Amino acid sequence: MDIATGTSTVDTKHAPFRDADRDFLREIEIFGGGSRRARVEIDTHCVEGSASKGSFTIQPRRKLVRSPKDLDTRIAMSIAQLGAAADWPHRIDDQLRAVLDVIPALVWLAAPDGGVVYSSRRWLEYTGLPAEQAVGCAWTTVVHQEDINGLTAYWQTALDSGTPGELEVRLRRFDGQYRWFLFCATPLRDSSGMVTGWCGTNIDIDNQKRAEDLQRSRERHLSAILDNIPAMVAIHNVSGELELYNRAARDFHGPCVADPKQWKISDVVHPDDLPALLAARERAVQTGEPVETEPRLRRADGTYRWCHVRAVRCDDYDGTSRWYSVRTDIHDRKTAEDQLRRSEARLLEVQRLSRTGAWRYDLATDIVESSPEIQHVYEAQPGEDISHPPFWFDRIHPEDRPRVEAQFERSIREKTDYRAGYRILLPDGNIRYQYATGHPVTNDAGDVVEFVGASMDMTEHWQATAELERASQAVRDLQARISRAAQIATVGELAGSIAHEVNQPLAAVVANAHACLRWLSASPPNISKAMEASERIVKDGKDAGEVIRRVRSLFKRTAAEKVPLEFAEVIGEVFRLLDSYPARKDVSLSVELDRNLPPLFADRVQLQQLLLNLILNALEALEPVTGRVKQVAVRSKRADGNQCVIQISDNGIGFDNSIAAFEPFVTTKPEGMGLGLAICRSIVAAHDGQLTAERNVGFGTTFTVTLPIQSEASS
Amino acid sequence: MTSDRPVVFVVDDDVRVREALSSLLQSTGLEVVVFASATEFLNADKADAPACLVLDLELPDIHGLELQRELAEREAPPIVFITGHGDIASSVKAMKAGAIEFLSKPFGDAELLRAIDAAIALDRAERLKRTERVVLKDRYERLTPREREVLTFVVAGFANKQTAGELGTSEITIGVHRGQIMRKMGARSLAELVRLADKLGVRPHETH
Repeated sequence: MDIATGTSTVDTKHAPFRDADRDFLREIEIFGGGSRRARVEIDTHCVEGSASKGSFTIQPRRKLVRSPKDLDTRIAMSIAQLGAAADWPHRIDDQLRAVLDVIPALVWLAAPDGGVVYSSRRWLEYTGLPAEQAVGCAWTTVVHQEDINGLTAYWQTALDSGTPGELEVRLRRFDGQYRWFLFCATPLRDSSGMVTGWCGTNIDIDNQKRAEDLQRSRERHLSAILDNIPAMVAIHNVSGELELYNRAARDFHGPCVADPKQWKISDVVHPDDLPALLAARERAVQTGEPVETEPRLRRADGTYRWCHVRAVRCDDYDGTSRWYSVRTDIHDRKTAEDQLRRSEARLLEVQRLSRTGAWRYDLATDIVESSPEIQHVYEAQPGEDISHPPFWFDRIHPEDRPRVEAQFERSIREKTDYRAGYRILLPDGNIRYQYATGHPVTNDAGDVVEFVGASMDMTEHWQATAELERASQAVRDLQARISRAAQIATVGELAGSIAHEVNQPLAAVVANAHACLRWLSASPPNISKAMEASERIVKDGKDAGEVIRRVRSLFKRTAAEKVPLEFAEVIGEVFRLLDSYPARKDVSLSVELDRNLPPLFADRVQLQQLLLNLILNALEALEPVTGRVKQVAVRSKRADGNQCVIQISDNGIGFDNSIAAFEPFVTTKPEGMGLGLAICRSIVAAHDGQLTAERNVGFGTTFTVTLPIQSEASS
Repeated sequence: MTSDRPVVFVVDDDVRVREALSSLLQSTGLEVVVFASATEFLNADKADAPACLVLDLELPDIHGLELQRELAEREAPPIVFITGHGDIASSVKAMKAGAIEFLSKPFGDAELLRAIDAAIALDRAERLKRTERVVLKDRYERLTPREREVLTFVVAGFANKQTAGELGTSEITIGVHRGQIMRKMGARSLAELVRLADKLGVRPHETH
């Protein structure tokens, strides 16, 4: 057989391998053969059918290991005698050479060990290498330095495995320029499958490669652009599958988009916002307009954030429709906006509640900016120009306007704070009270450029203050009236307590008198008991006298505090007091006053007591009256000698002895104490006046009080 | 100390009135005890005798009407009010609450004594009634539950036969009960038994 290309079996046990080669063979034995290939030196006598000793390439065809102990292993090897390579060119005939040379590619042939044995004419022309330099391994000088390692590894792999392969490498052209080639090597086999050599082609793919590189760099560029867009970019197909997303989207959504096929819109859109988003998409499909919506999208950390989503649907180059969307995380902005809106709303609310409006006046442009509240208070009407000062000054009450304007001008001139309280006159004629403050804002040069201020509506406050003042006055009046009423009422109480004080000793006197009589009339008479009773009578009688003396002194001590008094006013107060007396009912009370009467000089309370007592007296006299209209008349008139006359008349039962009526404890009334008229007389006396009583011609009595006018002034 | 000699209690804060009334009432042979306040009167040990309370309306501690209200809940003597400054409203209230008389100071001896006599007579009658009621109650307590039950039929006018039917026993047994009841209650006739039962507040058995 031709050992150069034949197949033989080597007895590894007995083969006289060099020690260096044994390791390789052991490796084959232990780990199996396959694609290993080595160059070994063996004595050919131990190889079947060979005779010479030389260097061979052996390729284990199969492994025959039975067991580790049994190293009686035979390895079927393809053995190629390296020396045989030299025969190759001779075996390529001229016709084949001619064919190879016309193929429009760089063609070469190599021996089974990889050494090139022939390179086509085009190869030589391209590289510019002489034919002798293109054989063996020498041709690798034209391979680009960067590609040489890759090529070596590839070529070794191809040789080891005996399988065809491709690789892209750059080869140097004759002019020194490198061009990309597709390096293809195909093993040539004989009928037994033994690799007998290699045929290779180098196809110039430089243009194609450059175009590809360009494309790749373009894609990289595009991808870089997409990834660097500070927004989330995503492309979905119509069925909702995610086809592309940029880094921002990846970073935002995280694992959600890890598997685009599993991606669902409901996973990332907030459930509350999903219906609106789907509706917007539906609308967009119908109208062809882009979708624009602001849903909350779920971020990788599970939180939902507000995003602005803008998407368009396009029919693409490949005939399918896709959604191209850009999403921007606007959460922070939206939150800030919401806060700002809330804070603005709060500010407006505060303005509304505090009834304080804000304003700003720009001096250079003469423009006024105003808040809704101040416009509301000033009742700006549609069509009115509120952006200039005249509107605001025109609203000020004409009486206040010059002052306010002067104040404002002074503030500008002197660069001082402006404060003014004034009224505004509204279109409907209503008046509101304002308190305005302003602060000058100066530029670097120190000139006032604008005024910033506030105007507070003080109307309610002012009204409340006025109301409070009125209420306080009413309370003071009421207190004064109550105190007067109390003083007057004490007269009645006083009378009651005087009666009690007098009745106690009187009761004792009566009881003692009876006792005395009884002791005396007993048989025998008990003189000592009777005397005891008599002594008690004397003592009790003195006690009664003492009571009366105390009452008198009580009245004397009450000093009259005389002030000028309008009689009409005093009688009005008495009438109000009278309303609480049941006796006032069913009585016609008439008043006839002299309007020109000068003020009386009297103690208000005492004068009231006097009038009240006389009127009550009249009412009491009317109580038993039936069959006629009960009447009390009060009259006042000027009399001669700087005096005034007050008359109180009734049509009651009257009394017989008008003089006696004024004595203390004299009364015609069954329940009277008899003190009322005595008190009246002492009051009149204290005022240097006179009190008289007269029977009327018809029924009843008329009491006449005569008082001096301005007695203090005249004295 | 039980006695039939009537006593008059005078409550007035004015010593002059107390002395005068005390002298006046003693001169007619009445026993008099005076007090300066309502509290003094309430705290005092009082003789168990027919009595009358002469009460001043205005007392320093308790108002006369207030004291009257309190006394109404006890077995207290009838009241004659005296006042130095009486008003109609107070007198109406006092009379409605059972006062014998309401006298305004100063008052004559005749009206006072007349009122006191009336008060004492009333108290005497009341005391008698109270005693009688105590005795009756004592007797009633001696009845057995069955006898008390039979009594309700007797006062309702049931014949022995009917009562026996109602109570599911014999006519003879009822007759025996009835005899026991008459004896224990000290009633000489059926009419008297019915009257005593009425005083005791025994309710007749109601026919259905």
